[in-house]
Parts: sequence; C-alpha cells; structure tokens
Amino acid sequence: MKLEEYNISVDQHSDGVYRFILKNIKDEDKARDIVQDSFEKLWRNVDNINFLKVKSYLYTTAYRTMIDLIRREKRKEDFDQVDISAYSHSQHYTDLKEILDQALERLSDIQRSVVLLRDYEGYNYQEIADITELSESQVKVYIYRARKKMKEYIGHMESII
Amino acid sequence: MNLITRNNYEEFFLDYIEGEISAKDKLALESFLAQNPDLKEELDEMMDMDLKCEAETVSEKAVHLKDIPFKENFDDFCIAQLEGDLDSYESKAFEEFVISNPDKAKDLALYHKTKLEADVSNVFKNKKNLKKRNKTIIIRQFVYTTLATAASIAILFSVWTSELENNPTGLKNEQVSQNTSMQITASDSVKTNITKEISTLKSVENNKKQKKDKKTSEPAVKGKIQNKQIIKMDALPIRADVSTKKSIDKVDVKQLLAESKTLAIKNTDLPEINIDITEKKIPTEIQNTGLAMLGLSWRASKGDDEVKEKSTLLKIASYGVSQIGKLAGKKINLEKKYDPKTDKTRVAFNTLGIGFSTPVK
Repeated sequence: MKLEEYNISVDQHSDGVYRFILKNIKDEDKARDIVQDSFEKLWRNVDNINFLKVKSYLYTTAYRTMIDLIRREKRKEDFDQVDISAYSHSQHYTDLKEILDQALERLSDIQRSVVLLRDYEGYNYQEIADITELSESQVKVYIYRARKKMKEYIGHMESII
Repeated sequence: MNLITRNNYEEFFLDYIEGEISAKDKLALESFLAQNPDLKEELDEMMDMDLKCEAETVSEKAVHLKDIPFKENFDDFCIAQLEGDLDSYESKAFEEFVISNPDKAKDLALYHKTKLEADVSNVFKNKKNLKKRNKTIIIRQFVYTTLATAASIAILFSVWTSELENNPTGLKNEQVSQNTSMQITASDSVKTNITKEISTLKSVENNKKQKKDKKTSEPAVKGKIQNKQIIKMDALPIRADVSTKKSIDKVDVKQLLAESKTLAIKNTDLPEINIDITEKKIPTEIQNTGLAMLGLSWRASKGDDEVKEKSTLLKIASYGVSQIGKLAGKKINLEKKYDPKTDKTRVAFNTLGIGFSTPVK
C-alpha cells in the first residue's frame, strides 16, 4: 500500500472504526486511542498490506485492541447478567435510538461486536468471523441471539412506554 | 447445576447452543473449555450441526411452503428474513404467513427495529494527525533549503573573489612588486652579459680601428678570418667571454662556430627564466582569494587554476550533498557528466523533488 492509499484509508475508514469502537466501549477518549493505535499499526505494516484489504485489517486490529482493553479493565458485561429490574429505569428513554443503545449495552461484548459489524458495516458472516476470530456459524448464532435479546428489550420497553 | 466434567459436558453444550444456559453456568463452561480445548472443537461442531439442521429443515420444507414451521420457529424466521438468509421461496412463504397471522406482525416489526444504524454525526476528528506526509517531501524541503543556503554562500563567495581580482588589494600589489623585482633580478644577469658584450663590441671596434691604423705598419694577418670573426660577432653579440683583443687573433672559425652554438643555447635559457618566474607566481595568485583572506585554504588538484578551483568546489558540494543524503537516509549524489559534443562538463543534481545541472567547464 502506498502513502496516498494509506491517507485515503484514513478518510474512508477512521470514522467507521471510531463509531464501531465507541459504540462498544462508550468512551470517546479510549475509542480515539484505539483508532489511533489501529492506524499506527497499519502504518507500520503499510508495505505488507493490500489496499483492498485495509478495511478488514483496521476493523480486526481495532476489535482486538478493544477486546484486550476490555479484558484488562474487566468491563465484561453480559445481557444474561442484567437484572430485569434494570428495565425500571427505561422510562427515561423514549426515543427508539436510545432504547436501542440500551439494548446494545446489555449484549455481551462479542454479541455487540458482531451485530455492530453486521449493521454498521454490512459485513457478511464470514468477514465478521475473520475479524473476530470466530467460525462463521458462531457468528451467525451470536447475531441471532443478539437480535432476540434486543427484540425482547425493545418489546418490553415499548410495552412500558 | 452440577460441576462441569468430561462426563457431563454434553448437557451444558446443549444448553449453551440452545441459549438456555445461565450466566453462572456459562462462565463455568467457558472456564471448562479453556481447560479442555479439544472439547471446544466439539462444541463448535455441535453448533455447526445445529445450524445445518435448522437450514435443512427450512430447505426441505421449502418445497411445501405450507408445511414450513413458521409458527414453531417464528423468531428464527424473523431474524433470517432480517438478515437476508431466506431464499425467495421461503421469504415469500414467510410474508404470507405473517399476513395471515396479524398477531405475528408486531413481533416481526420489533425485530426490524433491532437493525442498527450508524450515527454519522460521530466522526473521528483527528484525521489530520493520522495522516502521514511523504518523507521525500520533507527531505526535499530540507535539501532545497540547504542547497539554497549553500548556493547563496557560493554565489557570495564567487562575487567576493571576483571582486578581489578586479580590484586588487594589498596582496595583489605585493605580488606585482614581487614580480617586478624578480624580473629586474633576472634582467641584471642579462644586463651584465649585454654590458659585457657592449664593452666587447666596443673593444672590437677599437681593435678594428687600431688594426686599420696599424694596417700600413703591420702586415695583414688572417684578414679573412678577422672578417669572419666580426661577422659572427655581429650575429652573436653575446659572445662576451671570447671577445678580448688577444684572443680574437687566435680564434679560428671552428672555435667561433662552436662558441656560437653555446651562445645560442644560452639565449634559449633566457625565456626559461621568465617561465620560472611565472610559475612562481601561481601560489601567490591562489592565495590571493577570498578563502585565503579568511585564513583558509584547500588542496587543489592537477590542472589549470580555474579547473582546480571548480574541481575543489565540486568536491565540497559533493561532500555536502552526500552528508545531506546521509542525514535523510537516501543516496543523493552530484553527477559530473562530460558532453563530447559541446566539449563541456556539467554537474547535475537530480532527486524526485528538485534537479538542476550547470556547466563547470
């Protein structure tokens, strides 16, 4: 990849990677740091990376950096662990977008990541599997389960509102 | 639930695949899988089989659309439709099923609401910091600045040097006076010889007069020889050593001829003296430059003065350029090319950013 292509990659993918990470960890500064780290890694390997695969490389790098960060900070949060009483705060969220954000936060890290990659970037199961180092079927199962959980949450919220 | 072991793990796997496992058991299962990576592969295979079974069930019954168990697996079909995993037949059949079951439409709508959309207002603001600049551009700017500075110094130096040459100062005057004195010194020896010759000629003339006066009293002795001797002396006035009154009478033709050759060689020595003097001027002129005025000097190579100066400047410039190249981590050289057509040598500097060439000879 050439210098010009690298700079084009910055224009094309930095926003997407940033949004993907920000949605996962809800921390702008850390999201920014992860994006910066990802592009620094890309720059260090700029000679070995094909421009056509740069998006996948960036998302993979950013995702793994984020997972490492989450593990370090032990911020793992699973929807299964969420007490149903937490829904009692939901009356503050009237907008569907906010409800979705809350539903997303209640997913496990891996479920959230695969759904975001699927919806934000339109990756297929295999591409998501490559990024997350999962099998294609695992990705599909995670997405299906995530959708069910999110649907349950949205339905519950709508019934309350 | 019981502790997970290699004897009861299938139960946990099934619960996991079905999504029925509790958070506590899930953590226990993950820990168990970490300790038994071979069983992790088995779990993956089971999950694959589960998905294949679901897919096969759908595809088999796709032939008979009415037999598709939408009701039993409604949620999965909703997600499959949302994800685009249904084929056209299945999709059509599912739509028909939802239309015929309005109570299911609400659930399908809820699934469609789970589709996330990126908030485009969230952008990464520090793109400029992420972007990289071309090293060569930075090097170009550095080289350009350095070369511009060097060129300015060289031009000022050249102008100063030429100004010194056009308007001689103290050193130049010293050189002139030195040259003059040297020429005078050289002329003294010649002058001495000439003086001697003049005195010899005068003495010969006197002898002639004396001989003419004595012609009547003394018999003519070797008259022809005397004439020849006089003629030879006219031709070779510098024959000072043999021009005595007594020797003239004794000198024969052969001796005169031999002496005339010797004198002729002596004559050719005179220009050599001047050449020597000129050669001695060279160091004085080279020192009389701007660099010498600064108390500096350089070692000149072979060749005439101008070529030496240019050659030395070229060496300095080449050294400077190579040092810049080392700093930049690139190999940059000044190229010296000789063009036989124009009989000129050109110095060329070519990089991606800038390039120039200039004749040096």
